[in-house]
Amino acid sequence: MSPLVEINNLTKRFKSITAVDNLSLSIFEQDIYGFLGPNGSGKSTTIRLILTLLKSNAGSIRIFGLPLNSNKKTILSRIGAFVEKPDFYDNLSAFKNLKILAYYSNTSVSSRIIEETLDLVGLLDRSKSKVKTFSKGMKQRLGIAQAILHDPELLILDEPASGLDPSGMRDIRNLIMFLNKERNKTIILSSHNLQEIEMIANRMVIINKGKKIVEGEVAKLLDTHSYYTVFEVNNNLKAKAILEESTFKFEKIEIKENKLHLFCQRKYIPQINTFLVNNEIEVESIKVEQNLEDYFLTLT
Amino acid sequence: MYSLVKIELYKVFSRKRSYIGFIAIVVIVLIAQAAMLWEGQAMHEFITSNLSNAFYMQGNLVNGYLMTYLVLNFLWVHVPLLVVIVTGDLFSGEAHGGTFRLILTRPVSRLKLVSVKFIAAYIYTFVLMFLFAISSLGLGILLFGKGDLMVIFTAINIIPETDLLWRFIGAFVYGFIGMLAIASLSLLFSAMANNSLGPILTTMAVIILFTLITSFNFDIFRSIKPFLLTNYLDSWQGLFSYTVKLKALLFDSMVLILHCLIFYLITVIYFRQKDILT
Repeated sequence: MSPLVEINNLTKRFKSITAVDNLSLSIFEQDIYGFLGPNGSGKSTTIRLILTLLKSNAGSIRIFGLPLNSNKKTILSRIGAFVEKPDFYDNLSAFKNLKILAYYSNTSVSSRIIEETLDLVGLLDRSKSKVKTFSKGMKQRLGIAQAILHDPELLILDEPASGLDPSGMRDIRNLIMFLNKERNKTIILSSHNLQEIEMIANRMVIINKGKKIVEGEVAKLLDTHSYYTVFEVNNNLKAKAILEESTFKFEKIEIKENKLHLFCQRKYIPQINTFLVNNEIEVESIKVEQNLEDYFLTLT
Repeated sequence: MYSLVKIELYKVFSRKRSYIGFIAIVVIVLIAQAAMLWEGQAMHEFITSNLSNAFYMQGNLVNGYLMTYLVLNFLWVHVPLLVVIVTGDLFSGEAHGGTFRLILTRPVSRLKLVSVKFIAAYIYTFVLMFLFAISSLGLGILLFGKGDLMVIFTAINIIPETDLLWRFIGAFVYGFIGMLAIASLSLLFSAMANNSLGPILTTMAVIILFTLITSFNFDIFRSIKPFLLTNYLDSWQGLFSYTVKLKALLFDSMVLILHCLIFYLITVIYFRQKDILT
Protein backbone atom coordinates (compact mmCIF):
# COMPACT_ATOMS: atom_id res chain seq x y z
CA MET A 1 0.00 0.00 0.00
CA SER A 2 1.40 3.39 -0.95
CA PRO A 3 1.51 6.02 1.79
CA LEU A 4 -1.06 8.80 1.96
CA VAL A 5 1.62 11.15 3.25
CA GLU A 6 5.24 10.58 2.36
CA ILE A 7 7.96 12.83 3.70
CA ASN A 8 11.51 12.41 2.48
CA ASN A 9 14.63 14.03 3.93
CA LEU A 10 12.73 17.11 5.02
CA THR A 11 14.87 19.88 6.49
CA LYS A 12 13.90 23.26 7.89
CA ARG A 13 16.38 25.72 9.30
CA PHE A 14 15.75 28.99 11.12
CA LYS A 15 19.04 30.85 10.73
CA SER A 16 21.52 28.63 12.61
CA ILE A 17 18.88 26.41 14.22
CA THR A 18 17.84 23.23 12.44
CA ALA A 19 14.25 22.65 13.53
CA VAL A 20 13.61 19.66 11.24
CA ASP A 21 16.63 17.60 10.32
CA ASN A 22 16.49 15.24 7.35
CA LEU A 23 13.16 13.80 8.47
CA SER A 24 11.49 10.96 6.58
CA LEU A 25 8.22 9.27 7.46
CA SER A 26 5.18 7.60 5.94
CA ILE A 27 1.53 7.78 6.92
CA PHE A 28 -1.03 5.39 5.49
CA GLU A 29 -4.74 5.67 4.80
CA GLN A 30 -6.97 5.22 7.86
CA ASP A 31 -4.03 5.66 10.24
CA ILE A 32 -4.28 7.53 13.45
CA TYR A 33 -0.67 8.52 13.32
CA GLY A 34 0.86 9.71 16.56
CA PHE A 35 3.42 12.43 16.13
CA LEU A 36 5.34 12.43 19.37
CA GLY A 37 8.12 14.51 20.75
CA PRO A 38 8.93 16.82 23.63
CA ASN A 39 8.27 20.55 23.37
CA GLY A 40 10.57 22.09 20.78
CA SER A 41 11.30 18.77 19.09
CA GLY A 42 10.10 19.95 15.67
CA LYS A 43 6.57 18.51 15.63
CA SER A 44 4.79 21.78 14.94
CA THR A 45 7.42 22.85 12.41
CA THR A 46 6.92 19.59 10.49
CA ILE A 47 3.15 20.06 10.58
CA ARG A 48 3.52 23.66 9.36
CA LEU A 49 5.71 22.40 6.53
CA ILE A 50 3.05 19.85 5.55
CA LEU A 51 0.44 22.62 5.61
CA THR A 52 2.64 24.99 3.54
CA LEU A 53 2.74 27.57 6.34
CA LEU A 54 6.54 27.25 6.19
CA LYS A 55 8.92 26.75 3.29
CA SER A 56 11.36 23.87 3.61
CA ASN A 57 15.10 24.18 2.96
CA ALA A 58 15.39 20.66 1.59
CA GLY A 59 13.44 17.45 1.11
CA SER A 60 10.07 16.62 -0.37
CA ILE A 61 6.50 16.01 0.73
CA ARG A 62 3.99 13.94 -1.22
CA ILE A 63 0.38 13.82 -0.12
CA PHE A 64 -2.35 11.74 -1.84
CA GLY A 65 0.43 10.65 -4.22
CA LEU A 66 1.03 14.23 -5.42
CA PRO A 67 4.05 16.44 -4.80
CA LEU A 68 2.97 19.20 -2.39
CA ASN A 69 4.95 22.00 -4.02
CA SER A 70 3.20 21.77 -7.36
CA ASN A 71 -0.27 20.70 -6.12
CA LYS A 72 -0.76 22.91 -3.10
CA LYS A 73 -4.33 23.93 -3.84
CA THR A 74 -5.60 20.42 -4.68
CA ILE A 75 -3.92 18.90 -1.65
CA LEU A 76 -4.96 21.55 0.87
CA SER A 77 -8.58 21.24 -0.25
CA ARG A 78 -8.45 17.62 0.98
CA ILE A 79 -6.83 18.42 4.34
CA GLY A 80 -8.31 19.79 7.54
CA ALA A 81 -5.97 21.15 10.16
CA PHE A 82 -5.81 22.41 13.68
CA VAL A 83 -2.42 23.98 14.36
CA GLU A 84 -1.40 24.62 17.96
CA LYS A 85 -3.68 27.22 19.57
CA PRO A 86 -7.32 27.55 18.51
CA ASP A 87 -7.31 31.18 17.36
CA PHE A 88 -10.40 32.65 15.73
CA TYR A 89 -11.99 35.98 14.94
CA ASP A 90 -12.96 36.59 18.53
CA ASN A 91 -15.46 39.35 17.82
CA LEU A 92 -17.49 37.03 15.59
CA SER A 93 -19.74 34.11 16.53
CA ALA A 94 -18.74 30.46 16.16
CA PHE A 95 -21.16 30.15 13.25
CA LYS A 96 -19.75 33.23 11.46
CA ASN A 97 -16.20 31.99 11.95
CA LEU A 98 -17.04 28.68 10.32
CA LYS A 99 -18.94 30.43 7.54
CA ILE A 100 -15.90 32.59 6.76
CA LEU A 101 -13.50 29.65 6.86
CA ALA A 102 -15.77 27.64 4.57
CA TYR A 103 -15.37 30.36 1.92
CA TYR A 104 -11.59 30.05 2.14
CA SER A 105 -11.94 26.28 1.69
CA ASN A 106 -13.47 26.96 -1.71
CA THR A 107 -16.33 24.59 -1.01
CA SER A 108 -20.00 25.29 -0.74
CA VAL A 109 -20.85 24.62 2.88
CA SER A 110 -24.49 25.21 3.76
CA SER A 111 -25.72 26.57 7.07
CA ARG A 112 -27.09 23.09 7.80
CA ILE A 113 -23.62 21.54 7.46
CA ILE A 114 -22.13 24.21 9.74
CA GLU A 115 -24.82 23.47 12.34
CA GLU A 116 -24.26 19.71 12.00
CA THR A 117 -20.52 20.21 12.50
CA LEU A 118 -21.10 22.41 15.54
CA ASP A 119 -23.48 19.77 16.86
CA LEU A 120 -20.84 17.07 16.36
CA VAL A 121 -18.38 18.95 18.57
CA GLY A 122 -21.09 19.88 21.09
CA LEU A 123 -21.25 23.59 20.34
CA LEU A 124 -24.58 23.94 18.55
CA ASP A 125 -26.23 25.70 21.47
CA ARG A 126 -23.42 28.29 21.45
CA SER A 127 -23.30 28.80 17.68
CA LYS A 128 -24.44 32.42 17.94
CA SER A 129 -22.11 33.31 20.83
CA LYS A 130 -19.01 35.34 20.14
CA VAL A 131 -15.85 33.25 20.30
CA LYS A 132 -14.32 35.60 22.87
CA THR A 133 -16.85 34.26 25.39
CA PHE A 134 -15.67 30.65 24.84
CA SER A 135 -13.61 28.62 27.31
CA LYS A 136 -10.36 27.04 26.13
CA GLY A 137 -12.04 23.64 25.78
CA MET A 138 -14.80 25.13 23.64
CA LYS A 139 -12.24 26.84 21.43
CA GLN A 140 -10.38 23.52 21.03
CA ARG A 141 -13.62 21.88 19.93
CA LEU A 142 -14.35 24.73 17.55
CA GLY A 143 -10.81 24.23 16.25
CA ILE A 144 -11.67 20.65 15.38
CA ALA A 145 -15.00 21.77 13.89
CA GLN A 146 -13.27 24.14 11.46
CA ALA A 147 -10.85 21.36 10.52
CA ILE A 148 -13.60 18.89 9.59
CA LEU A 149 -16.06 21.41 8.15
CA HIS A 150 -15.21 20.73 4.49
CA ASP A 151 -15.13 16.95 5.00
CA PRO A 152 -11.38 16.45 4.39
CA GLU A 153 -9.78 13.05 3.92
CA LEU A 154 -6.76 13.87 6.04
CA LEU A 155 -6.93 15.59 9.42
CA ILE A 156 -3.86 17.12 11.00
CA LEU A 157 -4.36 17.91 14.66
CA ASP A 158 -1.51 19.60 16.48
CA GLU A 159 -1.90 19.11 20.25
CA PRO A 160 -5.70 19.33 20.12
CA ALA A 161 -6.10 18.41 23.79
CA SER A 162 -3.39 20.70 25.07
CA GLY A 163 -4.30 22.48 28.29
CA LEU A 164 -7.60 20.67 28.76
CA ASP A 165 -8.85 18.99 31.92
CA PRO A 166 -9.18 15.15 31.91
CA SER A 167 -12.83 15.30 30.90
CA GLY A 168 -12.06 17.70 28.04
CA MET A 169 -9.19 15.47 26.92
CA ARG A 170 -11.49 12.45 26.91
CA ASP A 171 -14.07 14.31 24.80
CA ILE A 172 -11.43 15.25 22.23
CA ARG A 173 -10.06 11.69 22.24
CA ASN A 174 -13.51 10.21 21.65
CA LEU A 175 -14.14 12.70 18.86
CA ILE A 176 -10.87 11.80 17.12
CA MET A 177 -11.64 8.08 17.35
CA PHE A 178 -15.16 8.69 16.03
CA LEU A 179 -13.80 10.65 13.06
CA ASN A 180 -11.34 7.86 12.29
CA LYS A 181 -13.68 4.91 12.74
CA GLU A 182 -17.03 6.33 11.60
CA ARG A 183 -15.97 9.01 9.13
CA ASN A 184 -12.90 7.16 7.77
CA LYS A 185 -10.51 10.06 8.29
CA THR A 186 -6.79 9.56 8.31
CA ILE A 187 -5.48 11.50 11.27
CA ILE A 188 -2.08 12.88 12.16
CA LEU A 189 -2.13 13.62 15.87
CA SER A 190 0.71 15.55 17.40
CA SER A 191 1.29 15.33 21.13
CA HIS A 192 3.96 15.26 23.79
CA ASN A 193 1.87 12.86 25.84
CA LEU A 194 2.77 9.23 25.22
CA GLN A 195 -0.30 7.87 27.02
CA GLU A 196 -2.63 9.94 24.87
CA ILE A 197 -1.01 8.57 21.72
CA GLU A 198 -1.04 5.01 23.05
CA MET A 199 -4.76 5.22 23.69
CA ILE A 200 -5.78 6.19 20.19
CA ALA A 201 -2.98 5.90 17.63
CA ASN A 202 -2.14 2.77 15.66
CA ARG A 203 1.18 4.05 14.29
CA MET A 204 3.55 6.67 15.57
CA VAL A 205 6.82 8.44 15.12
CA ILE A 206 8.94 9.95 17.85
CA ILE A 207 11.11 12.89 16.98
CA ASN A 208 13.59 14.85 19.00
CA LYS A 209 15.66 17.86 17.96
CA GLY A 210 14.07 17.58 14.54
CA LYS A 211 15.31 14.02 13.97
CA LYS A 212 13.35 10.80 13.81
CA ILE A 213 14.06 8.56 16.79
CA VAL A 214 11.70 5.72 15.96
CA GLU A 215 8.68 5.03 13.76
CA GLY A 216 6.28 2.09 13.63
CA GLU A 217 3.19 0.45 15.11
CA VAL A 218 2.36 1.79 18.55
CA ALA A 219 1.70 -1.60 20.16
CA LYS A 220 4.97 -3.10 18.93
CA LEU A 221 7.05 -0.09 19.85
CA LEU A 222 5.66 0.20 23.35
CA ASP A 223 5.67 -3.51 24.20
CA THR A 224 9.35 -4.01 23.52
CA HIS A 225 10.43 -1.13 25.70
CA SER A 226 10.63 -0.76 29.44
CA TYR A 227 8.52 1.47 31.64
CA TYR A 228 8.39 2.50 35.22
CA THR A 229 5.72 0.41 36.88
CA VAL A 230 4.64 1.27 40.40
CA PHE A 231 3.35 -1.58 42.60
CA GLU A 232 1.56 -0.85 45.84
CA VAL A 233 2.07 -3.95 48.00
CA ASN A 234 1.71 -4.80 51.68
CA ASN A 235 5.42 -5.64 52.13
CA ASN A 236 7.83 -3.67 49.97
CA LEU A 237 11.05 -5.16 51.37
CA LYS A 238 9.93 -8.76 50.94
CA ALA A 239 8.55 -8.06 47.48
CA LYS A 240 11.81 -6.42 46.39
CA ALA A 241 13.89 -9.28 47.79
CA ILE A 242 11.96 -12.09 46.08
CA LEU A 243 11.80 -10.19 42.79
CA GLU A 244 15.57 -9.66 42.82
CA GLU A 245 16.05 -13.39 43.32
CA SER A 246 13.54 -14.27 40.59
CA THR A 247 14.26 -14.95 36.94
CA PHE A 248 12.62 -11.69 35.84
CA LYS A 249 14.96 -9.18 34.32
CA PHE A 250 14.66 -5.65 35.65
CA GLU A 251 16.62 -2.70 34.49
CA LYS A 252 15.90 -1.09 37.84
CA ILE A 253 14.08 -1.99 41.05
CA GLU A 254 13.72 0.37 44.02
CA ILE A 255 11.46 1.47 46.86
CA LYS A 256 10.34 5.09 46.71
CA GLU A 257 7.62 6.81 48.75
CA ASN A 258 6.64 3.47 50.24
CA LYS A 259 5.99 1.99 46.81
CA LEU A 260 7.85 -0.52 44.73
CA HIS A 261 9.18 0.95 41.47
CA LEU A 262 10.16 -1.46 38.72
CA PHE A 263 11.66 -0.58 35.37
CA CYS A 264 10.72 -3.46 33.13
CA GLN A 265 9.06 -4.47 29.89
CA ARG A 266 5.32 -4.22 29.92
CA LYS A 267 4.73 -7.82 28.86
CA TYR A 268 6.17 -9.03 32.22
CA ILE A 269 3.72 -7.07 34.36
CA PRO A 270 0.94 -9.73 34.56
CA GLN A 271 3.52 -12.42 35.34
CA ILE A 272 5.11 -10.28 38.05
CA ASN A 273 1.68 -9.70 39.58
CA THR A 274 0.97 -13.47 39.65
CA PHE A 275 4.43 -14.14 41.02
CA LEU A 276 3.96 -11.68 43.90
CA VAL A 277 0.50 -13.03 44.78
CA ASN A 278 1.81 -16.62 44.72
CA ASN A 279 4.48 -15.52 47.17
CA GLU A 280 1.83 -14.18 49.56
CA ILE A 281 2.37 -10.53 48.72
CA GLU A 282 -0.86 -8.54 48.54
CA VAL A 283 -0.87 -6.35 45.44
CA GLU A 284 -3.14 -3.36 46.02
CA SER A 285 -2.51 -1.48 42.79
CA ILE A 286 -0.35 -1.45 39.65
CA LYS A 287 0.30 1.73 37.73
CA VAL A 288 2.35 1.99 34.58
CA GLU A 289 3.98 5.39 34.40
CA GLN A 290 4.67 6.03 30.79
CA ASN A 291 6.21 9.32 30.04
CA LEU A 292 8.08 10.37 27.02
CA GLU A 293 11.27 11.12 28.89
CA ASP A 294 11.49 7.54 30.23
CA TYR A 295 10.70 6.20 26.83
CA PHE A 296 13.49 8.28 25.35
CA LEU A 297 15.87 6.83 27.92
CA THR A 298 15.12 3.36 26.62
CA LEU A 299 15.63 4.45 23.03
CA THR A 300 18.86 6.38 23.37
CA MET B 1 -12.40 36.24 -5.68
CA TYR B 2 -15.63 38.19 -5.22
CA SER B 3 -16.57 36.06 -2.18
CA LEU B 4 -13.13 36.58 -0.66
CA VAL B 5 -13.41 40.36 -1.09
CA LYS B 6 -16.83 40.20 0.59
CA ILE B 7 -15.36 38.26 3.51
CA GLU B 8 -12.45 40.66 3.82
CA LEU B 9 -14.81 43.62 3.88
CA TYR B 10 -17.00 41.86 6.42
CA LYS B 11 -13.93 41.36 8.62
CA VAL B 12 -12.90 45.01 8.20
CA PHE B 13 -16.32 46.43 8.95
CA SER B 14 -17.06 44.09 11.85
CA ARG B 15 -14.20 45.64 13.83
CA LYS B 16 -14.75 48.66 16.03
CA ARG B 17 -11.47 50.30 15.03
CA SER B 18 -12.73 50.67 11.45
CA TYR B 19 -15.30 53.17 12.65
CA ILE B 20 -12.76 55.33 14.51
CA GLY B 21 -11.75 56.92 11.21
CA PHE B 22 -15.34 57.58 10.15
CA ILE B 23 -16.28 59.10 13.49
CA ALA B 24 -13.06 61.15 13.65
CA ILE B 25 -13.55 62.58 10.14
CA VAL B 26 -17.14 63.63 10.81
CA VAL B 27 -16.36 65.03 14.27
CA ILE B 28 -13.35 67.04 13.04
CA VAL B 29 -15.29 68.44 10.09
CA LEU B 30 -18.23 69.33 12.34
CA ILE B 31 -15.94 71.07 14.84
CA ALA B 32 -14.25 73.01 12.04
CA GLN B 33 -17.65 74.01 10.63
CA ALA B 34 -18.93 75.09 14.03
CA ALA B 35 -15.81 77.22 14.52
CA MET B 36 -16.32 78.75 11.07
CA LEU B 37 -19.95 79.47 11.89
CA TRP B 38 -18.95 81.50 14.93
CA GLU B 39 -15.61 82.96 13.94
CA GLY B 40 -15.51 82.62 10.14
CA GLN B 41 -16.52 86.14 9.20
CA ALA B 42 -14.14 87.77 11.71
CA MET B 43 -11.28 85.51 10.60
CA HIS B 44 -11.91 86.27 6.96
CA GLU B 45 -11.99 89.99 7.59
CA PHE B 46 -8.70 89.75 9.43
CA ILE B 47 -7.01 87.81 6.62
CA THR B 48 -8.32 90.09 3.91
CA SER B 49 -7.92 93.37 5.86
CA ASN B 50 -4.93 94.46 3.80
CA LEU B 51 -6.62 93.51 0.55
CA SER B 52 -9.75 95.47 1.36
CA ASN B 53 -7.74 98.68 1.13
CA ALA B 54 -6.92 97.95 -2.49
CA PHE B 55 -9.92 95.90 -3.61
CA TYR B 56 -13.62 96.20 -3.36
CA MET B 57 -14.98 92.97 -1.84
CA GLN B 58 -18.48 91.94 -2.83
CA GLY B 59 -20.57 88.84 -2.20
CA ASN B 60 -20.39 85.92 0.26
CA LEU B 61 -16.74 84.87 0.55
CA VAL B 62 -17.29 82.89 3.77
CA ASN B 63 -19.14 80.03 2.14
CA GLY B 64 -19.23 76.24 1.91
CA TYR B 65 -16.44 76.15 -0.66
CA LEU B 66 -14.07 78.18 1.51
CA MET B 67 -14.99 75.97 4.44
CA THR B 68 -14.19 72.81 2.42
CA TYR B 69 -10.95 74.30 1.12
CA LEU B 70 -9.78 75.10 4.65
CA VAL B 71 -10.79 71.66 5.97
CA LEU B 72 -8.98 70.02 3.05
CA ASN B 73 -5.76 71.78 4.04
CA PHE B 74 -6.30 71.09 7.68
CA LEU B 75 -7.15 67.41 7.45
CA TRP B 76 -4.63 66.36 4.87
CA VAL B 77 -2.14 65.59 7.60
CA HIS B 78 -4.59 63.57 9.68
CA VAL B 79 -6.40 61.52 7.06
CA PRO B 80 -3.34 59.25 6.46
CA LEU B 81 -3.36 58.32 10.14
CA LEU B 82 -7.05 57.42 9.98
CA VAL B 83 -6.39 55.28 6.91
CA VAL B 84 -3.43 53.36 8.32
CA ILE B 85 -5.15 52.63 11.65
CA VAL B 86 -7.22 50.12 9.67
CA THR B 87 -5.10 49.19 6.66
CA GLY B 88 -1.91 48.79 8.70
CA ASP B 89 -3.59 46.03 10.67
CA LEU B 90 -5.00 43.95 7.82
CA PHE B 91 -2.07 41.51 7.61
CA SER B 92 -0.43 42.00 10.98
CA GLY B 93 -3.77 41.66 12.79
CA GLU B 94 -4.22 38.20 11.28
CA ALA B 95 -0.63 37.25 12.10
CA HIS B 96 -0.95 38.53 15.66
CA GLY B 97 -4.35 36.89 16.17
CA GLY B 98 -3.14 33.56 14.79
CA THR B 99 -5.87 33.46 12.14
CA PHE B 100 -3.38 33.14 9.27
CA ARG B 101 -2.97 29.54 10.49
CA LEU B 102 -6.64 29.00 9.76
CA ILE B 103 -6.72 30.74 6.40
CA LEU B 104 -3.43 29.64 4.86
CA THR B 105 -4.02 25.95 5.61
CA ARG B 106 -6.92 26.20 3.18
CA PRO B 107 -6.73 26.12 -0.62
CA VAL B 108 -6.39 29.86 -1.08
CA SER B 109 -3.33 31.25 -2.82
CA ARG B 110 -1.23 33.84 -1.07
CA LEU B 111 -1.35 36.01 -4.20
CA LYS B 112 -5.14 36.01 -4.01
CA LEU B 113 -5.07 36.76 -0.31
CA VAL B 114 -2.75 39.75 -0.78
CA SER B 115 -4.88 41.03 -3.67
CA VAL B 116 -8.08 40.69 -1.67
CA LYS B 117 -6.60 42.58 1.27
CA PHE B 118 -5.44 45.39 -1.02
CA ILE B 119 -8.90 45.63 -2.59
CA ALA B 120 -10.56 45.70 0.85
CA ALA B 121 -8.12 48.38 2.04
CA TYR B 122 -8.83 50.48 -1.07
CA ILE B 123 -12.59 50.15 -0.58
CA TYR B 124 -12.24 51.20 3.06
CA THR B 125 -10.13 54.20 1.98
CA PHE B 126 -12.76 55.12 -0.60
CA VAL B 127 -15.53 55.02 2.01
CA LEU B 128 -13.44 57.17 4.34
CA MET B 129 -12.69 59.72 1.63
CA PHE B 130 -16.29 59.72 0.43
CA LEU B 131 -17.43 60.47 3.96
CA PHE B 132 -14.80 63.20 4.15
CA ALA B 133 -16.07 64.75 0.92
CA ILE B 134 -19.74 64.51 1.85
CA SER B 135 -19.29 65.85 5.37
CA SER B 136 -17.05 68.75 4.38
CA LEU B 137 -18.42 69.76 0.95
CA GLY B 138 -22.04 68.67 1.36
CA LEU B 139 -22.50 69.92 4.88
CA GLY B 140 -20.38 73.02 4.14
CA ILE B 141 -22.64 74.10 1.28
CA LEU B 142 -25.72 73.24 3.34
CA LEU B 143 -24.58 75.36 6.28
CA PHE B 144 -22.72 78.20 4.59
CA GLY B 145 -24.17 78.26 1.09
CA LYS B 146 -22.26 78.66 -2.16
CA GLY B 147 -20.06 81.50 -3.35
CA ASP B 148 -16.76 82.38 -4.99
CA LEU B 149 -13.58 81.02 -3.49
CA MET B 150 -10.63 83.23 -2.72
CA VAL B 151 -7.41 81.25 -2.57
CA ILE B 152 -4.25 82.96 -1.35
CA PHE B 153 -1.43 80.64 -2.35
CA THR B 154 1.40 81.86 -4.57
CA ALA B 155 -1.00 84.46 -5.90
CA ILE B 156 -4.49 85.63 -5.07
CA ASN B 157 -6.98 83.60 -7.06
CA ILE B 158 -10.66 84.27 -6.97
CA ILE B 159 -12.41 81.34 -8.54
CA PRO B 160 -16.04 81.88 -9.49
CA GLU B 161 -18.70 79.71 -7.87
CA THR B 162 -19.67 78.10 -11.17
CA ASP B 163 -16.10 76.89 -11.71
CA LEU B 164 -15.59 75.30 -8.31
CA LEU B 165 -17.48 72.04 -7.94
CA TRP B 166 -15.39 70.10 -10.45
CA ARG B 167 -12.20 71.39 -8.79
CA PHE B 168 -13.32 70.09 -5.41
CA ILE B 169 -14.37 66.73 -6.89
CA GLY B 170 -10.95 66.58 -8.57
CA ALA B 171 -9.21 67.44 -5.28
CA PHE B 172 -11.02 64.64 -3.46
CA VAL B 173 -10.32 62.15 -6.26
CA TYR B 174 -6.65 63.14 -6.25
CA GLY B 175 -6.60 62.93 -2.45
CA PHE B 176 -8.14 59.48 -2.68
CA ILE B 177 -5.30 58.34 -4.97
CA GLY B 178 -2.78 59.75 -2.50
CA MET B 179 -4.44 57.88 0.35
CA LEU B 180 -4.34 54.67 -1.73
CA ALA B 181 -0.57 55.04 -1.94
CA ILE B 182 -0.36 55.49 1.83
CA ALA B 183 -2.69 52.53 2.40
CA SER B 184 -0.47 50.41 0.10
CA LEU B 185 2.64 51.39 2.04
CA SER B 186 0.97 50.45 5.32
CA LEU B 187 -0.15 47.12 3.83
CA LEU B 188 3.44 46.37 2.84
CA PHE B 189 4.65 47.03 6.39
CA SER B 190 1.69 45.11 7.74
CA ALA B 191 2.62 42.02 5.71
CA MET B 192 6.11 42.15 7.21
CA ALA B 193 4.98 42.49 10.82
CA ASN B 194 3.42 40.20 13.38
CA ASN B 195 1.96 42.88 15.62
CA SER B 196 -0.67 45.52 14.97
CA LEU B 197 1.04 48.66 16.22
CA GLY B 198 4.36 48.31 14.38
CA PRO B 199 3.11 48.85 10.80
CA ILE B 200 0.87 51.78 11.81
CA LEU B 201 3.71 53.57 13.58
CA THR B 202 6.25 52.73 10.87
CA THR B 203 3.99 54.06 8.10
CA MET B 204 3.36 57.28 9.99
CA ALA B 205 7.06 57.64 10.79
CA VAL B 206 7.90 57.24 7.09
CA ILE B 207 5.21 59.76 6.07
CA ILE B 208 6.44 62.32 8.63
CA LEU B 209 10.08 61.81 7.61
CA PHE B 210 9.30 62.08 3.90
CA THR B 211 7.12 65.14 4.50
CA LEU B 212 9.97 66.85 6.36
CA ILE B 213 12.41 66.06 3.57
CA THR B 214 9.87 67.31 1.02
CA SER B 215 9.32 70.57 2.88
CA PHE B 216 13.01 71.41 3.39
CA ASN B 217 14.44 73.27 0.46
CA PHE B 218 18.00 72.02 0.78
CA ASP B 219 20.08 71.00 -2.23
CA ILE B 220 20.91 67.68 -0.60
CA PHE B 221 17.23 66.67 -0.60
CA ARG B 222 16.36 68.11 -4.01
CA SER B 223 17.60 65.08 -5.94
CA ILE B 224 15.64 62.55 -3.86
CA LYS B 225 12.38 64.49 -3.63
CA PRO B 226 10.96 63.19 -6.93
CA PHE B 227 11.16 59.66 -5.55
CA LEU B 228 9.29 60.42 -2.34
CA LEU B 229 5.62 59.65 -2.10
CA THR B 230 4.90 62.76 -0.02
CA ASN B 231 6.20 65.00 -2.79
CA TYR B 232 3.01 64.25 -4.71
CA LEU B 233 0.42 64.26 -1.92
CA ASP B 234 -0.44 67.96 -1.99
CA SER B 235 -0.57 68.36 -5.77
CA TRP B 236 -4.36 68.74 -5.47
CA GLN B 237 -3.60 72.38 -4.58
CA GLY B 238 -2.93 72.84 -8.29
CA LEU B 239 -6.65 72.48 -8.92
CA PHE B 240 -7.17 75.82 -7.21
CA SER B 241 -4.76 77.76 -9.45
CA TYR B 242 -6.19 80.16 -11.95
CA THR B 243 -5.20 77.86 -14.77
CA VAL B 244 -5.14 74.20 -13.85
CA LYS B 245 -2.18 72.25 -15.21
CA LEU B 246 -4.01 69.02 -15.89
CA LYS B 247 -1.01 67.28 -17.45
CA ALA B 248 1.10 67.86 -14.33
CA LEU B 249 -1.75 66.61 -12.14
CA LEU B 250 -2.16 63.55 -14.29
CA PHE B 251 1.57 62.87 -14.09
CA ASP B 252 1.55 63.18 -10.30
CA SER B 253 -1.49 60.86 -10.10
CA MET B 254 0.38 58.31 -12.22
CA VAL B 255 3.37 58.50 -9.89
CA LEU B 256 1.09 57.80 -6.92
CA ILE B 257 -0.55 54.89 -8.74
CA LEU B 258 2.91 53.58 -9.59
CA HIS B 259 3.73 53.69 -5.88
CA CYS B 260 0.61 51.60 -5.19
CA LEU B 261 1.68 49.08 -7.80
CA ILE B 262 5.24 48.84 -6.50
CA PHE B 263 4.09 48.41 -2.88
CA TYR B 264 1.61 45.75 -4.01
CA LEU B 265 4.24 43.80 -5.94
CA ILE B 266 6.75 43.91 -3.07
CA THR B 267 4.01 42.73 -0.69
CA VAL B 268 3.13 39.82 -3.00
CA ILE B 269 6.77 38.75 -3.36
CA TYR B 270 7.43 39.06 0.36
CA PHE B 271 4.21 37.41 1.53
CA ARG B 272 4.53 34.43 -0.81
CA GLN B 273 7.86 33.58 0.83
CA LYS B 274 6.86 34.43 4.37
CA ASP B 275 7.00 31.72 7.03
CA ILE B 276 3.86 31.77 9.17
CA LEU B 277 5.23 31.29 12.67
CA THR B 278 2.50 32.90 14.79
